[in-house]
Amino acid sequence: MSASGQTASEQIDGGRPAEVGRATPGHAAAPEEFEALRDHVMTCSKCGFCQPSCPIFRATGREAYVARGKVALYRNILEDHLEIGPAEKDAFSNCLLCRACADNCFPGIKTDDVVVSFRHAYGERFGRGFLQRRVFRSLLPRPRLMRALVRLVWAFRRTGLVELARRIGLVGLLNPKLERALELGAGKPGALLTSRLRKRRPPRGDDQNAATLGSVPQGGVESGDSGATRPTVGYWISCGYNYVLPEVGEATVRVLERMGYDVEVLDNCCCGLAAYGYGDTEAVAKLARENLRRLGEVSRFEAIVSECGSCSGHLKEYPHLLAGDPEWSPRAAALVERIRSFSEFVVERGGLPASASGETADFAGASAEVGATVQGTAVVDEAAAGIGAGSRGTAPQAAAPGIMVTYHDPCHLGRRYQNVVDQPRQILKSLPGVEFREMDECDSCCGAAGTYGILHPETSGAIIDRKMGFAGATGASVIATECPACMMQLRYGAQRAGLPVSVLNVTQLCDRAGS
Amino acid sequence: MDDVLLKELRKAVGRDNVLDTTVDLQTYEYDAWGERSLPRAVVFLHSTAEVAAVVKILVRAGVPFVPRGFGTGVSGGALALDGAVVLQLGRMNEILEIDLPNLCVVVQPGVFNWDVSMVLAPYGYYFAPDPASLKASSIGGNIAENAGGPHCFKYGVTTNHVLGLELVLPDGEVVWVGGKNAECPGLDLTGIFVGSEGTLGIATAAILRILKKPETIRTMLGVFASVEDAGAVVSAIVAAGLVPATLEMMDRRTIAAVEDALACGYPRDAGAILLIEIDGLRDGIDDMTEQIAVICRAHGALEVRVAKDEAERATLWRGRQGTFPAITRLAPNYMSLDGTVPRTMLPETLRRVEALAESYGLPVYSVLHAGDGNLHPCFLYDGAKPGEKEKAEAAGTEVLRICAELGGTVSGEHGIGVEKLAAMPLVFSEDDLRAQWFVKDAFDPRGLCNPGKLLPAVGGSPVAASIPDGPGVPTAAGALNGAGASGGKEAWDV
Repeated sequence: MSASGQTASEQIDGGRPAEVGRATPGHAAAPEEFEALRDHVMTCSKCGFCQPSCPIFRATGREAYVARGKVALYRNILEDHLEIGPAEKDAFSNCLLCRACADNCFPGIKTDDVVVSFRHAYGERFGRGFLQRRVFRSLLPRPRLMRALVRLVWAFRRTGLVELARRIGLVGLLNPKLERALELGAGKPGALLTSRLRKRRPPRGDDQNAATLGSVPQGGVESGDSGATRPTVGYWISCGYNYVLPEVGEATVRVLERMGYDVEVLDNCCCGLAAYGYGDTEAVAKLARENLRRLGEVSRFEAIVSECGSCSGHLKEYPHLLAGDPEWSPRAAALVERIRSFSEFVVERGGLPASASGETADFAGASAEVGATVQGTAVVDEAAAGIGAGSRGTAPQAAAPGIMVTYHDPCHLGRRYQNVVDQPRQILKSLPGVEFREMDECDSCCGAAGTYGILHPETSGAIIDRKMGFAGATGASVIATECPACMMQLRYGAQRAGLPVSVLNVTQLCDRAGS
Repeated sequence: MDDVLLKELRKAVGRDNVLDTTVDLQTYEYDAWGERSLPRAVVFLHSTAEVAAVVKILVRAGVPFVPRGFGTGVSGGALALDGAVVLQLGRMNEILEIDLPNLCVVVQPGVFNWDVSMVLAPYGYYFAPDPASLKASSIGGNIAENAGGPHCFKYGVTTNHVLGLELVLPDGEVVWVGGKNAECPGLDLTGIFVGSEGTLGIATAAILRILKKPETIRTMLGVFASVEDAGAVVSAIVAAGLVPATLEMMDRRTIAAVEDALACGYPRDAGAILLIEIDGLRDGIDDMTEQIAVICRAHGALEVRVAKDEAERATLWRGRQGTFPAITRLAPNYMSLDGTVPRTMLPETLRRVEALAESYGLPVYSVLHAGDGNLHPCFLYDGAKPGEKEKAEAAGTEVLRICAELGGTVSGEHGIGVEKLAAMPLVFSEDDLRAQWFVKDAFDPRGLCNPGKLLPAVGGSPVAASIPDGPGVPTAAGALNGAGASGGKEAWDV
């Protein structure tokens, strides 16, 4: 060995400039709650295999935004090389909680736990904004108040003041992120899903409905007006459908009824996923308990069904979130036994009832509905190949041509959370007139991720643009999915890309096929 | 960091493309080796022109720099020593050209290795070098480290697949070396650059050779009572003139660890297994399979299994691809080595490594690219226990000494980086190293390009100091401008 050869450690120590870097002693210590994950984060080998599957890393190439970088920072905070502050917050706010980083992770690092832990600790140390606190802890647990507020906002928007403010650039001036928020909520549902469902006609004794329902689902449930008691499913109200896309919920309920179930619309509040994303675990627990209280005895249901992958996914986490709460955790466990995502439920019950109309399904009109509900995407949607033609107010074409459908896996529904992957595809492929084609990276996050799209519009835009490239390459005229946040983001993406596609929920396609 | 320099960098590449906050720097203070050293700043680059401009600024300021792809190297090659500025090339990720008639693609350095093959898949082509990190490592990094992988036994390592390079030299000059031509006259400058670990300049575009996907693939598992038997088979297969695509070996302890973690059907009681893959034309593949099976049995194979379908093949490979996680999950820390010996020496090497591990009291797990004579013994230890890390490091050095003594060398594919600097004198004399320093010096007379890597200091070095740097002295950049013309493209300056 060379006498003058330096060892690795000499090189490295010598290479660290003194003026940059480590927090000096006396700085705030690492949050105590970080200790719970100490052993876990120490298993990161820094291999970097998390990089290619991380949508944010693909979009930005920044190490602080990928799992390895965040875990390194977390470790540095634990080792007092760094302390919690706004710059660190920026790194930890750049996570979609999509779990894609774990795809190739040898030690199986739970980045979502690490990120939520940081966000919680940050909130504890620096306080949460007034608005955040009010929304998560006071507003979301009270659905009636929430509904009233949404109606008030709608009324205010109808005055045109908001639109005026947006046009003259006042909104952008106040906060550019508001603009993106307004775009997302630009739909005019007219009435909340809960109000619409209250007004719906009961399925029993509805002749027309009974006629289309002729067949018996393979699951063995008697349908129609035979007088036999129909089993009941609970329908979970997801905020996204309630406030922005109510027509999806209506379609879901129609399909469930056609399958032969009585549908009880639940009086639930927000599932709590939004608060979880912000690391407000106290609000999460409060919302979970409030929902369990509102649902009451869940054994009266065959199942509780949600066509929102985020809601059903988060509800399945309740036992974990309420672990250590002797009063509520058994009830959470009972709830999980009942919770099903829509596709999961349909396949478990042997699939959809055969359509009364036989071979051809009427997908016409789907685009008109979509176009009407989301302002700005109307042009795009009406141009949707195979659907838009002939659908504008005219009678549906006699023999609707087949449509090409592709499917986007919502993170919380797909293999990284609920592992409901085959079911929606099975359903789509079973629909008459539907040709299914898979897109590349079908299960990469769309970039909506709660409020991520609003807080980080540029990165979120790059993420959805990539997705749209893959969706467009399939030639599909419909992108189906099973989550309202994904639906809104995909529609926004289609608009950005000028892609002539309709974005529909799986339930909407089922509804069309069976009508 | 110096405000003036920061300002100048920001002016060159835009405000948001220069990072200098503590948080950002701490996320660039490591690569997959795991040791830490804070960079002075991180600069995101988007074009060759930007790379050249930034290098010129840094050279003027006398500030060292280190090119970085995705930081997946395991020998510390992307570590920023001496307060170097990290030149982040991951955003230069375009596939510039797919040229099927000339069997090549032109790509930027920040493309993931895997993505090259994905883009080529619809045409039936692929890029052969397959390091374990292929999904996460960049082409630029593969070139810097001259990366290898299981299939490199038949197809060769990265250097066999790089036809030409666009380089930003350590003084900011832009040149092309090599090209699409089958032969480039003059010194093989492309060959010198590949594997130079970022010490001779920065590749900003690469012409890569591509291959047609083989018509058919056959995967076999040979089961043996000992590593000696398995090692003898490796030599016998090669001596018989057969060239499988892979010849991978695992020892007894590794087999058990993989089975515990992944249950992929490896025989637990075996002393060693060989994972042999043959590919090529459909005609003749049955003959070759049979010949290999005969050789295996002649050397006492307990079992020879041929994968019946794609699912079985995938299962066999799942075990090999999951080897590393299956081992490293067993202890808090590990030290993985990358020695290479002539393949006939493999059984002897493994015997000595095993004895060494026993004397150090550290469990060792060996997985080998046996066809290449490349072994990856992995020592497990607990860094929290005092003295364990030092013990593992000492054992690692001993392994490399064994490889050197048996006529091998200290790295097969992971590179020297910082990790193995001290092991270089095991295989190179001071004169050897001085000769290499002269090459380094021809490219980088000021020693600013990825300092502290690859070449350990030798008496009187760095040689850089001994060569006058002034007007009238021909520098590497000047000399290379001529070479650029032979590469088929105009050298251009910014």
